[in-house]
Amino acid sequence: MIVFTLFYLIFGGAILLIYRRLSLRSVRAEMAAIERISSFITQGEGEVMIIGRGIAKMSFVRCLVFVADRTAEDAVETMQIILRYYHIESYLLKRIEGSSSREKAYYLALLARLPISKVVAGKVSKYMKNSSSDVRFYALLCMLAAVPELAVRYISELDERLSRRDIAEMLSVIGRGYCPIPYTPLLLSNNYNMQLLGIAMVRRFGIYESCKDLMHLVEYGEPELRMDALEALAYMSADCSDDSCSGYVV
Amino acid sequence: MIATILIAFILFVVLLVGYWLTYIYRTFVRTRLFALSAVSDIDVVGGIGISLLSPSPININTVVGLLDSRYPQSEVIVMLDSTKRPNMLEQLKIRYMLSQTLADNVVYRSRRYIYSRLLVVDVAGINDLRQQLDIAAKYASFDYLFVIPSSYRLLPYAVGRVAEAIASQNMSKVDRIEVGEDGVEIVSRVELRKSGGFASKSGYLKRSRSICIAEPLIVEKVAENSHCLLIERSRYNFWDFLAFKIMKYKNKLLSLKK
Repeated sequence: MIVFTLFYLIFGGAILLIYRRLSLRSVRAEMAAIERISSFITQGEGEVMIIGRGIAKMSFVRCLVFVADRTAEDAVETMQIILRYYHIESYLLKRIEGSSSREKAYYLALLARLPISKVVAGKVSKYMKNSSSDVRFYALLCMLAAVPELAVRYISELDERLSRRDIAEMLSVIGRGYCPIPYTPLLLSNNYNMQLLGIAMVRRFGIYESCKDLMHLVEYGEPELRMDALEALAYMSADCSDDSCSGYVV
Repeated sequence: MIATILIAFILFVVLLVGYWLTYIYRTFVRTRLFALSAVSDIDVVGGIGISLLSPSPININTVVGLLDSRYPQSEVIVMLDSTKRPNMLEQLKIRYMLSQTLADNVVYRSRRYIYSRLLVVDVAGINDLRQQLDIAAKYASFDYLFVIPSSYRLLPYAVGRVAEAIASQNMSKVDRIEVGEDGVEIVSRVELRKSGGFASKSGYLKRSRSICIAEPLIVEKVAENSHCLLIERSRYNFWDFLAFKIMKYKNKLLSLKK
């Protein structure tokens, strides 16, 4: 009995140690991959990484997402070269096709964070009718990254209300610069989701010209949106001496 | 007869473990999805503010670590007993150029703008931790209070993750966030005040208006950096996530034994 217990303890310990060593190695491989991708973007040259040896393809995609989240508009072309070279779009679309709804949401989220081509929007649009709300939302995010004009139409047709986290996710895609959306129609529409996105955009990018529209929202908008509009005005240090805001001044 | 009972028992255990594993997998998938999102943009609409309460931090590095959190809408409230630890208070005063506020003699704020997020509260003469927390909560300026035990340090993504969890729900429906670690409490300030504060046991916040976070938010002070890397990895690697859950249950069992 003692021998058996000892054997299991030593065996289990050895497996844990090996696993820990291997996982640390993969963490280091991911860090090296991020370094290589960023040097390719900044210097325009770099070695080709062999996927499957040293780094798994999924880890490589995560590294690409990590870099894409932290780069601006000028890195888009280089990122697209990398995406084409490693066939990332088709790989992710294939993974989305053959996975459960929980996995689908994750792969769609990965896809949305990359500078994808317009072709992807057509392939992803069928997930807008999925039963899972996560899948529906991340499909919408993919559309926003690929074809912004089409995505705005989809946002206006949404039945459910978007949460603040969803709006933040959308802004992180819009904020990268390669997804231009006109903000005035968003603020002037009668749709809650569109107005919330409009307020968030105005606040995030500090668009002072649309202060009049925000003041209009403070006066006539939905009760839930009024406070947000007022907060955005305060955030931009706008002149609130207008009649619409005077009721809120203490 | 005995063989049948044994087989039934084994089947029962297998079913139980299977159910537990599927539950863990579901929480992992949710965690992995959340780990991708951009934390810095959470405060774009109607910012969610979080006050970090640190009761008697071990040394000055703890305070430095807390001020490092990546989430912009947060403040750090340090609670210190000036009679028991005068040296620590002196060190903080020198490092952050603290001065007493005019309104109250027990509160110290920095004169430098970059440390405007730091607030030191002197809790001399109060030994009960819950009462100390109540005093600190009085000076908090944000909507949510996040209590961090003194022997732990905060993981870099923790505050943003909490803000994100609140932002994913309707904000008026979240009073409390449940976390696996002992000693960590995340509560709504307004609701806490209504229920009588940390010290009152009768009117504490209800569980029905709470949400859960599955991943670890704090780590022990002694943990190495490689260990922290593995924690970060557990947000998108299932086996690391499972190892964490097992370790957590093991720690709970050990603490029950004591």
